[in-house]
This record gives sequence, structure tokens and C-alpha cells, in this order.
Amino acid sequence: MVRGLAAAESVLTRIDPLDLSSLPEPALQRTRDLFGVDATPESSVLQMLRDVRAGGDSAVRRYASLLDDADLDTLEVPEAELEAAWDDTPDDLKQALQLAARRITEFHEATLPRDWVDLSGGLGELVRPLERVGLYAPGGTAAYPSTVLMTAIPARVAGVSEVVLATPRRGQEPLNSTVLAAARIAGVDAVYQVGGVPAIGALAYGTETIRKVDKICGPGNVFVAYAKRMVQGQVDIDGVFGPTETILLADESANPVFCAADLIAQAEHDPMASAILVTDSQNLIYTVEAELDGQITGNPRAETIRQSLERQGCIVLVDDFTEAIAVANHIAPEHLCLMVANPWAWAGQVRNAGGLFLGEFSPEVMGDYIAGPSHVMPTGGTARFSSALSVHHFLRTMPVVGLSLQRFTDLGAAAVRIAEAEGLPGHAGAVQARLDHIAAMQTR
Amino acid sequence: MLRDVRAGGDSAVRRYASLLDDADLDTLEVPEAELEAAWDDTPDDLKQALQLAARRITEFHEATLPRDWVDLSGGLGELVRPLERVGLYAPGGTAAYPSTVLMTAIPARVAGVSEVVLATPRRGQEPLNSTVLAAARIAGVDAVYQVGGVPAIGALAYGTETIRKVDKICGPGNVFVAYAKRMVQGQVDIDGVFGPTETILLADESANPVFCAADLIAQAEHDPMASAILVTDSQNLIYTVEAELDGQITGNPRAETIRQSLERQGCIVLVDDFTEAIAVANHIAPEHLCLMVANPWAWAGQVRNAGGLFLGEFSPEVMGDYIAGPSHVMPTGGTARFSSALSVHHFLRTMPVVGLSLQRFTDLGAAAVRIAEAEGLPGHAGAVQARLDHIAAMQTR
Repeated sequence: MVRGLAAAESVLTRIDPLDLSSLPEPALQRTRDLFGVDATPESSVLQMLRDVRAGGDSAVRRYASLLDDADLDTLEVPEAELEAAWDDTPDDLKQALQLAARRITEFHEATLPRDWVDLSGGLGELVRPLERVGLYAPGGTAAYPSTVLMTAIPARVAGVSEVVLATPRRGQEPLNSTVLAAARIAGVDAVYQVGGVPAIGALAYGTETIRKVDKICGPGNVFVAYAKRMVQGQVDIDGVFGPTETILLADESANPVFCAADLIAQAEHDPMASAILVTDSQNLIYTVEAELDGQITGNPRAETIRQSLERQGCIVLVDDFTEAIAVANHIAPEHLCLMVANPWAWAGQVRNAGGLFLGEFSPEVMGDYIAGPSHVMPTGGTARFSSALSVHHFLRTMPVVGLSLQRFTDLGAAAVRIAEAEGLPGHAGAVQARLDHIAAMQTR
Repeated sequence: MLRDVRAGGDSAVRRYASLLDDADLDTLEVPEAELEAAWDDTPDDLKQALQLAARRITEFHEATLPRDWVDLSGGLGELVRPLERVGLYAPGGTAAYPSTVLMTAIPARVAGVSEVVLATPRRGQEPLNSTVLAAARIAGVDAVYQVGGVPAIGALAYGTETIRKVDKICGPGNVFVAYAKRMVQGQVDIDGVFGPTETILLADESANPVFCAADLIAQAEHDPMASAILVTDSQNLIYTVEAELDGQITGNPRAETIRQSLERQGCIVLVDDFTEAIAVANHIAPEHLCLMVANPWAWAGQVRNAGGLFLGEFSPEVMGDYIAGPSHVMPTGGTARFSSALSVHHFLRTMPVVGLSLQRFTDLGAAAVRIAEAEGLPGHAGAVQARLDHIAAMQTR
């Protein structure tokens, strides 16, 4: 436990999500085994991207075999498997996912911007969706159907024409049927059974089977994150994401059972997840600590939770709630939860957070699954300049200039003057030609 | 260079300024006296032109500002927050454009960014471009640093003793600067990576060939890599525009650059009809798309991919470059497929808010538990279940 803002700043360090140099030795050795003795994680990513760009489908198949022991006949998941996955998904889970999909859709529809045009001013903005978006869903234990909903639905609501999903097949294992069911519920157009860096390359450059996309969204391991950064410019990406982070601001009115449960929910993600409690109540700290012990013991993921709380967790005692808000703004967490009396009164002071959760019935978990906003939120302090995934990430805004003769005449001379100052006579000339033409018309 | 600046701060920046630009810097911040002198040196009519442009740019961006919204019954909303600190980069030398300072700083200021700073390189003993400094004052820039190139990007991204780190870096630069911006992304946000400028001019037989030629020249004069393309369904227009081009280029001091650009990157495309012309434009996704046609607004709805759209004969791209209102920082190299012209949105964050009532929570809680169980996250399920149990207990009392 630490006391005060300054102490919190010194304790809470940032994790660089692209820190490939800090990979554990077994991962580095595997890279060398697969790519050669001189290979580094960075060079292996670049090589895979190059190979997929040049070799298309065959390169993707080769890497699926090499990295995942998967022998792919086709890159697209067979329709029969999608049907089977749907049939295997229990009805109550389907209904839960459908309810979540409705809530997510409603929220994003409420946020859709519209074209606007001011004809007298001769200005406006036209809103256009992206044409094709590729989503990535990691395999294995981190296969989250909720992430499929949270990335595909904003894209669909924005009006994206084609939304496709790539997820890796491991050996002979079937794909996660809930992920496939979520893809159907979210309106995904095609599912490809490719993963890792080769999937990013396929989506970015296109192969015979997989048409290139305009944007790639979705989480992945450090190799996938690095690959996403490397293809940026060729395609757009949603961002680079590191371990998840939550700050819980609580006062003495907070229910310690809920506080502990929320910290545990965060910590169970992985050992690098961070769950932080900031409070002005020493008493709450005592009661939450007691609750934590009891609740962790009953949890199957107790090991992960303990590691996370030990390495990345923190309890900060502050003098007052203004100081608490200052701590949160400084850290700029992915999730900020206010478990206080009258939370809406504090919302105006929150400057830096990916998502804001107000009051005891808005635990972050509700945002993870069903409240409405996408759960893809900025990590690692990037909430300072990035936003949670939204329809805006799938739209472009095109400014329109349509000046009347009068408007042009009012502004033309000034444009000529600036063009001359910038040493661009052709720019000046394009405006002057029109001013001369207008003057000539008026003297007739 | 980025590593050195990150580790060495001000002294590394000074060392590189000397090494790369022959500049011997006492301070990294431009002295107030030099800013004053630059302002006094700027002719009044130029000041007024820049101020008129600043007013138009401000008005446009104010019209685009999003607002907080909250639906209390649904328990959802979005809060809009500006970035705190933005760093602008303005290249030196012949590409020193005061208009770019206006076009990057004003959207940031309108968005409510607290601090907007500018970095621009000093070359040897040469004074800084006074018009750039004047534009910085007009646009409300808070501080100007006389550092350039990759070291400037590093200083803005990591911070030095003198230059506090920023949240976002905006502004054009050479390929080294562009690469540096990409490398620091994640540490800070960037506006994008920009290549040579591109314009497609779609014209029909109603277009004035004098204007068409002038617009192509205005585009080509930027640099030999700029591309100016004419797409038309009128063979006759092609003849008249080609004749005009010859005459207009000859009189232009930048004729050499113009000819190189038109030769290497320029093109005239004859299409069968205007629908095909729009398809060409959508496929290329140009930075600027200009419709010099009768009834241009009727075609606007079919335009899908362009950085900025210019409609009609009195909306040449040059008006957008300087004064019409929208920022002239627009996506190049086909990135108009997924990027937008610089706007207030690039300086804002939208923070979703979840504030569920007890009732709303109760309606949704069981579904959340079910999905959490399917994802193998018992703690997630537990956080919701604890509240459902609490509510049930309250209700049985």
C-alpha cells in the first residue's frame, strides 16, 4: 500500500506493449529454432510479413503448419464447421450473446455522426464508412466471444461493407465454438482459420483467398501487436494494446465485497493485468483486504490473481477524493471505476481514462460484456490520446468545400497573398485566374 | 537519434542541431525578441490575410465540435475531452509554410488543447522564417522551439529538460521525420504518415480549361513527386487544357518542378462517362478530389474515398490549402480509404460512460454472468453475481 499521489506515481510503472526484448528466453529460443540462429523477434515478424505478402495462401499454410501444427485444406472455415459450432452453443448462451449484441448495437447507433452541409457557407463534412475490416481473435484460452461482438458490431453499425474474422487453428483442435457463434450473431461475413503474424499479413496485403482489408482490429500477443504496427500505413489498425488496467476509486460508502470482487475480476485476466484501489478511507482498505483473501481462495484462477495483485496491484490511500481523481488522471488507466456516493458529480473532473464506470451497479465487468460501449479500450497510458473503440474508428470524415462565387470573391485575395508569401506562384495563379475571370464578367 | 535524445535531453538535441544543421543553439526555445521581430517584419496585408484565414478555419472547426451526451435512463453516455499537450512540426527551408501552422494549430486550439507548441529547425545562422513565426502567434501557439528533424520528434515524444513531452505530434516532414513519427507512435499519438501530395481533377465539358490547367499546375509545383491527374469524359477539354498548360507553365518560376511532376506523376484519363470517372477516383482514393462539373453537389454522394472534396469551379483546392476552413492536412497515398483530414476529432478523446441503475443492472446481469462463464472467467462472473445476490437479499427483506 502506498500513500499519496507522488508515491503512487513512483510505484506504478508503465509496461511497453511492444517490448519484444523482454520476452522470456524460451520464446527467444523458439524464434531462433524456427527462423535461424540470428533471428530476433522483430526480424521474425518482418520475415513472416514479407513471406505472406509474396507467397499468399501457400505462405500462410506453411506457417500454420510450422507454428501451429495445423494442416489447412482451406483458409476459410468450412460452412459445416460454422453450423456445427452454432448447434453446439447452448441456447441460454446464445440468448445472452444476443442480448449483449442488442445493447452494443443500440449504444453505437446513438453515437453515429451524420453528414452536415452549410450551403450558404459552402462547407460541410460527409461521413463514409470503411469498406472492409479484418478482426483478429486470438486462440487458446484467450478466445473471447465478447471481443468478437465488441469489435464487429461497431464496424457493422458504422456501415462497413465487409467484416471478416481471423482466428488460429491449433493442430487438430476445433475452433472455439462460442467465438464462431458470436461471429454469426455479430454479422461477420467470413471467418478465416489463420492466426498470429501470418494472419495480420494476410489481412494487410491480401492473399488469393483473403482480400486485403482497410483496417485490422483486435488483440493479440506481442508478436501480433508488433506486426500490426509494422503494417500500419498499408492498413489502419485499432491500436497497440498492452495488459489490461483498472483503477477503482472508492470512498467509505463503497461495499468492500464489491470492491474485492472487482479487483479480482481484473486480476484474473493474466499476471500482467493491473488492479489498483485508490481510496480516502483506511477502513475500506482493511475490509477490502479481508474480503480479497476470502474471495481469492475460492477462485480457480487464484494463482493468476495472486501474481497480478502482487506484481501490478496497488492500494493507494489518499487524503481526499480530489487527490484520488488526480492519481487516476495521471495514470490514465484503461478503466476507471468510481464506487462513491454521487459518482456523476465527479465525472466532470475525469480527464484521462479509456472508459468510465459510475456507481456500484456499473462494475467494469458489465462494460466487458453487455452495457453497450466497446470493451476495446486504450491501455498503457494511451488514454491520454486514444479513445475506446467506437463507430468513429470505422468511419472517415470528408470535408467538403463548395464555395459560391461570392464566397470565393470574399476570400480569394487573401489566399493569393498567402500563396505569394509561401513562394507558390502556381497556387496564387489558380486563384487569380478566377478573380480575373469574375472581374471580366462584371465589367461586361 | 531518438535513443540519444531520450537519454541525453537538451544536450543531445543541441549536439544534433550542430551536427546536422550547423546550428549553435544557446537555448532550445526561440527568444521572445526574435518572435517580436518576426511579427514586426511581417507586412500588414499578409498579417490580415493570415488572420482572415485563421477566422475561417476556426469557424469551420467550431462547427464540427462534438459534445458530451448522457442518457441517464439508459445509464450510458460519452464524455469528450481534449488532449492536454500537442506538438506541431514545421519543416524549415523552402517548405516553410505558415498555412500549415494555421491548419494544425487551430483545430487543436478549437478542440480545447491546453498547450500547443511548435518545433521548427534553425539552419546555421539563418533567421527562422518570420511568416511561420507570425502564423504561430496568430494561431495561438504557446511556445516555439528552434529544433528540427528527427531530434525534434524525439524531444516532443520523450521530453527534455526544456521541452515537455506532448500527447500528439502533428505536421509534415521529410522521410526521416516521417519514419521517426512512426517509431514514436504509442509513446505519443501522431497525425499520420504523409507522402507526396495528390490531386484528381474530375471535369466535364463545362469546365473552364484555364482553371483546369491552373489547378494542375498549382498541384504540380509542390515538388516533382506531387501528382496531378485530370479525369474527363471530354476529349475536347483535354485538347484545350493541354494547350493552356504549355502557356501557363512557361510563365511560372517553378516550371522545372512542374514539368517533372506532370511528366512522372501526372496523367490525363479519358473516360466514357462521369460514373466511370467517379469510380476511378474512388479506386485511387486521392488526397484531394475536385469536381469541375455542372451540378457537382449531385455527384458528392457517390464519392467514397477522398481526403477532401472540392465542388465547383470556385472551389479550387488552393482555397482549401489556405482559407476555406477545413484543415489542409489530408491523407495521402491511398490512406483516404481509412483516414480523415485533420480535424478537432484528432485532438479529442471520447470516453464512454457506464452508469447503470439498479434496475438496468438487474436486467442485464444474468446475461453477463453467462458469458463470463463461457469465457472461463469466474472472477468476472463473481463480480456480477455478488451484486445480483445483494439485490436479491435486499428485496427479500
